[in-house]
Amino acid sequence: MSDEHTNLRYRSPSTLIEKGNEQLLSLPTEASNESATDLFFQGQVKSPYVAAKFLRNLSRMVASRFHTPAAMLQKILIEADPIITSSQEALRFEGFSSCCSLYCRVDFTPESYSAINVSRGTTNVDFNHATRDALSRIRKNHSMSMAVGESAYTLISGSETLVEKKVKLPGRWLKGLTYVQIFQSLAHKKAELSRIQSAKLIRSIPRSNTKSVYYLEVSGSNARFTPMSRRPKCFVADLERLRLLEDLVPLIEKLTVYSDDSSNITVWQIDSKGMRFTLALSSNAWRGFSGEGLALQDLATETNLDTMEALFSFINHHEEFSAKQVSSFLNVTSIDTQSLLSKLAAQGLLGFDLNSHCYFNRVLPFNLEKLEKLNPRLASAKKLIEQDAVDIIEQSESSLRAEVRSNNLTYLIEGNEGDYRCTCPWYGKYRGYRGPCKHILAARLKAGFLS
Amino acid sequence: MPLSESILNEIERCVINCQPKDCLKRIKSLPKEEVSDLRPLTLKAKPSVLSWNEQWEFKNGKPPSQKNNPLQIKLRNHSSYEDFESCYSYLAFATYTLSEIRKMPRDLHWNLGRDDVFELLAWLRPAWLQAIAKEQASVTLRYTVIKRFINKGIIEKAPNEGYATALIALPSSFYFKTAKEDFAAYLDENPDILTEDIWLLFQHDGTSDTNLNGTEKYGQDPWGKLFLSKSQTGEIDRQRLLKACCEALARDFVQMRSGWFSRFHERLEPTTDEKALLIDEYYLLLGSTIGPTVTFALKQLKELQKAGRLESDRLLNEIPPSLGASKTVTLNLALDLVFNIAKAEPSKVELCALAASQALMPEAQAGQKKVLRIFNLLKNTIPESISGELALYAENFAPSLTQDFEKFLDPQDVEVTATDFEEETVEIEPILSDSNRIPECTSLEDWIYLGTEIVEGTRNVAKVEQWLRGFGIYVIGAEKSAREAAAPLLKRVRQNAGRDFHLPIQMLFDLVQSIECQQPIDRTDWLADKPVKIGVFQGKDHFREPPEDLMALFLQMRFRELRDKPRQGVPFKNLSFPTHYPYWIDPAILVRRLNEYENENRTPDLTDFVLALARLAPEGRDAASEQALHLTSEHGRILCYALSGVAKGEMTIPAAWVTAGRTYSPDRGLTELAHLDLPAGPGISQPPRYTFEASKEKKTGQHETWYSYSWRVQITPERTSDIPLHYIYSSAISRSDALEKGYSWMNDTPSLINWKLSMTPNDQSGIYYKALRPLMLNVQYTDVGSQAYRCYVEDMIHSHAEFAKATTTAWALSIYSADRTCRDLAQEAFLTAFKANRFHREHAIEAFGFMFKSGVIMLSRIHPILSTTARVDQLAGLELTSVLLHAAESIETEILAQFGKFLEVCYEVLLLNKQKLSDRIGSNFLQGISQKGKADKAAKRIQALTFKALRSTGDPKGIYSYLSTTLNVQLPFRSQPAVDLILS
Repeated sequence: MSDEHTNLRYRSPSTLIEKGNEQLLSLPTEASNESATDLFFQGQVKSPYVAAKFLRNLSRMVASRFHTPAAMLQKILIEADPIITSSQEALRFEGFSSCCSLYCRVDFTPESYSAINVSRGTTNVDFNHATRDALSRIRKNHSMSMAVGESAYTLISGSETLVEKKVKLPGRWLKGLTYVQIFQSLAHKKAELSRIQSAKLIRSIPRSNTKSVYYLEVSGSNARFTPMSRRPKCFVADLERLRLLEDLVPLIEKLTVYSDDSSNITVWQIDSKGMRFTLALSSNAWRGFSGEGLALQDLATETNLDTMEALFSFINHHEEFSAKQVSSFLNVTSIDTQSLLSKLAAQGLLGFDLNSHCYFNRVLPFNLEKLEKLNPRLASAKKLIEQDAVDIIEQSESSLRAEVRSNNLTYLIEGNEGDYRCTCPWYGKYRGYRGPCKHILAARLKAGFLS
Repeated sequence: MPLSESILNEIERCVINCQPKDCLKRIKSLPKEEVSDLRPLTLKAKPSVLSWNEQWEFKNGKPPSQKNNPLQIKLRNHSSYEDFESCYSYLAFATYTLSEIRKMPRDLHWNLGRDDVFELLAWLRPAWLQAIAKEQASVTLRYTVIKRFINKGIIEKAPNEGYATALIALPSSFYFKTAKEDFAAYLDENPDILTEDIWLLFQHDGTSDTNLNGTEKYGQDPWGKLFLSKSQTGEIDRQRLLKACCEALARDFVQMRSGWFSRFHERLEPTTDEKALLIDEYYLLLGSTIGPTVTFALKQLKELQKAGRLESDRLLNEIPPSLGASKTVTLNLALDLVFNIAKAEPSKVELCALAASQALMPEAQAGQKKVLRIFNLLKNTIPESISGELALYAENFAPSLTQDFEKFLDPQDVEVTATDFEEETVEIEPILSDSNRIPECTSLEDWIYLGTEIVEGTRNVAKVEQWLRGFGIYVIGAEKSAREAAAPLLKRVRQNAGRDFHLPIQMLFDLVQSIECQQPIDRTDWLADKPVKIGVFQGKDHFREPPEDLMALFLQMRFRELRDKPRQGVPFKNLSFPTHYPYWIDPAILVRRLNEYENENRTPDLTDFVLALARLAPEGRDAASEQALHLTSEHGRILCYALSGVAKGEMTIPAAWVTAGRTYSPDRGLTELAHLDLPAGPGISQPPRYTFEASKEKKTGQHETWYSYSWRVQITPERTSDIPLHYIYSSAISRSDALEKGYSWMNDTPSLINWKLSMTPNDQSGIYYKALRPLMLNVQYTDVGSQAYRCYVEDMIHSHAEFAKATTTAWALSIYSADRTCRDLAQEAFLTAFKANRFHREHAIEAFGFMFKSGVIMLSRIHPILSTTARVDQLAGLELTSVLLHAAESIETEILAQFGKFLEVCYEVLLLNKQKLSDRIGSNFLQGISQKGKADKAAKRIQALTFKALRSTGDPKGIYSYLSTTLNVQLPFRSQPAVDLILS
């Protein structure tokens, strides 16, 4: 996969201006966003200490790295800047760790701020060292205002300066950002922990690299990580990634854990003073969210253009919406809705809020045209069909038996609704945990199961 | 004007003849603008440099032959190569662009530090040099090299991370020179280092190889010494140094590297006045993510508080981030600061109590005690805000302090905060339950799909066995077209066998080869009766499978038998295919399988039969033995013997009879087989006897001190090499001297360990005694705790096997492991075994007692396990505490200081279970504690607690015994009135 170079330019550096106990967090947006002439957001945070801690931790997570990909110099990937999405429902800061195995988001709900101005928009913000330092100085008795937008720089200095930063964003970073929303939409609540339970749990995480899988077990008043799974539980690999939450322990009012059994992805959500800190862990530190392939079937599904247009119109008029609302608006089945929404999420148009279990509209400030090319398995499956390498042996309404020729070998595919198996090494290795292999996809496409 | 051909030819000749001096001279004689014309020559020389650079090793003094050599350079020796490389470097540095310079081999960048190259570049002043200096600083370019270019004005200073790292390493450039004043002289020559550059050392933390902490530990701390001396002479501003240290600490550098800054701050011995100027910086450090940095800041603030230089309001406002610290020492320091305010300013007690309540987040009893001390200063009624805040932490109170805290609480608040999950009851299922059943392959396709899975990893014994069973039923004799369907699988097996040289995968490879050919493969390494070569790596002997690994040889023998089956072309059904996870065979099913063999008039393979006997589940044997009475063959009688212990009839297969006898009862002598001419060895007619000893030795090196552990297992009688492998219980036992050798266990991969454990599940002592040595290493080194050795502990959880003496010793070592996952697994193993009544406390007391005695003990690793075990299962926590305290009775030496914390944790666990205490736990040990302090206090509290429990039972014998031994009270008679008197 080729690296996607994205150069981010800022009119001014982000700054936290201090006037005694008054703090103004000024976050200028990415300069190429020409249409953004006004402030997206302007308001005062009600709990500045929590807000500062959350944002500081977000920037720490974005800078963290738990895996250095082979044949890749560590310095190739540098910390990226978070993305802000502003809407009436929430002001959201989101970002990825350098290794892409960790997604984090801070949500400011309306009850956590008193806003002067809130409008809809998505942009990048520059989170520089000085801002991070200043955030760590905020204490409980301070007050803090936030201004997000192009004109914010005028609050800092009279002369316009352009701060240019070159950030090399690899394809999987971008892809992960779109895919993580799909996984969140599939996750279900597994546990809700009190402050003490959370503290005990987070502080029990080993300091060293565990090199082993752990499971979250909740029983009685006790929550703990155990290396053995006696029954289906929350799977957490590379547990040390969760230690990044340790700094937030004293602020936790409630820690909610969500997970999706099929993908082994867990989402950890801290609630405090009307703000939420969300941390999603991919199934391994060496794997980003994009490698799971679970959405491949949805992406492979052919979609009616009129339906897509109607859906675009719907999301442009709704800041937050559930899959059910979309389903009733478009008058399509829930499976079709899921497929449509996955497609939009994969294009970077949707985010997902686990708390309300709703999608929110968000247009990523990157060039996403290449994203479609970032699904090599799907492309390979289509190529197999083009090469006429797929023979359907038996087919009924829901079951399928096929042979796929590839590299001088013939692979057997058989199965029924959602449960297919193949004789290829990919399937042997992952048993469907990382989505269907290209042979299964090709067979299902050929059989017309994905239209 | 283009370069004349004659000059070009001259320079080319210099390159071909490897004459760097002439080459440089001629390049420098050119007009600057004509130098770029040498580029074609550079490109012509490039292939030779690249290929020689890759394979620079000269064999017998001759360079490797080179096909890609456009200039036809003939190297005479290594020195001539170096000359050629110099010529190429001149040309490259003179003509290349930035991207081309970047792509040059790294070691050629080193040439930038040479005087001749410097001269050339000083003359040429190439544009790329600035970027290369920035990128390669501290990588291939040393500080002195970069500085030289800067001083000459060739490049500008780029004070980035690489530059700072190069500066950290600067003193090492002078380290090996004879004149030590060189470094000082260099600093004199470059005064801007002391005025400007040194401050970069406080802004960047370097790399894992080059950092100030490392230079302090391994390089005599040249920077620290320099700063100290220069600050004394006033050449460096002392206050600026102190502030820079704090600023460096605020940057949240890696913990190990940030330590230098706090230590150096202390070495400067700042006065209180100097520290007072840094109050803002110290407060900022309270929010640091690095624990020791927070501790450092708190220490400074404590000193300032003592000197009356801190404002209490600001302190109370700034201190919260440190009150959530998980380290006891940090928490105590923070609470001391709060306590001092509360004590000195009664009006602020409420504020202090409110702040201190946040320190109840950690479970540390010591910290909670300090919080209580502050709460006790509250004399009037408790404000709602405080009781409300305190209620948030109610579920975290240490059992010993719960009562004290509860008086500050409103009971209603507590109810609101408690969050309980549904209690998970762990059902311990019998081995032969349906949920444990291993399914069989139902078709050839099933077998292929399963094959694609196991070929990716052979750790799951049940699945491989399932596949082997399918191999016998569906593959042998199958049509060619059916075999073709397995082609992708066969290809994958071949691929994986090429990558993974370990035993199980190599044996699968042999099997699938035999499917393809329907005849035995000529793989002499597998067929030969000699040590098998697996995973030969660089021809090193220690990667050979040792002859002592008899289990591996047994496994190999079994696969060899299977491999010959396709040639016979007759489908067969494995007897040893386990029926229930992880590797047990339902006795009734084995009877049925053997019955089928009898009906078909077939004789089982000996290896298969022996393995099947060894895998018989302990459950369901009685019922199955009745069914087995109908079997008529000798194999049937052997199975009867394994199930009921009754041996009768002719005995022509001694190895199978012995296996049956050992399976029936592993720990007894097989007297009923005395008439057979059995080999003398362990695990044949008599069970083996194991003795073991361990010791711990303190060793001191140049920079550090460590403990060396040694462990020795003695097995009698010794296993000799003439005993056939089919005596499987004997094959599971290694020779004592083999256990001493590293290679006896170094080849044990996770899958091989699982396979070995699956072969004699009724008695795994031999395997666990072999595991003791690697597990012992785990106590010492985290990295040795590779996943391979976790398999032993995982098996303790899944196997349903009893915790025999060897298993328990291996478990006790695992619970001390430096590898956290190994410890967590050991805890799970204990919880599971305790619940299933498989755990035997007498074995555990013996194992721990032995470790206490020999000094192989890491009590600090036990504390969290004790606490969490008690949280998960109170009774299990009590059992573990009781075991440890009983084990401690064996200690004869003076009590170690580390027992204080241990006993405190024990006390808290016992307090949780005070209703269930029934015996005087470790009383001899507790009475023996003579040192005053934590240990003594905790010991007395435990004794009082156990006495209380004893008193509630009203058992006069126990009470008499307690009084006479513990309190040394001698009562004149033993009667109920006396007991009543005591109880009153």
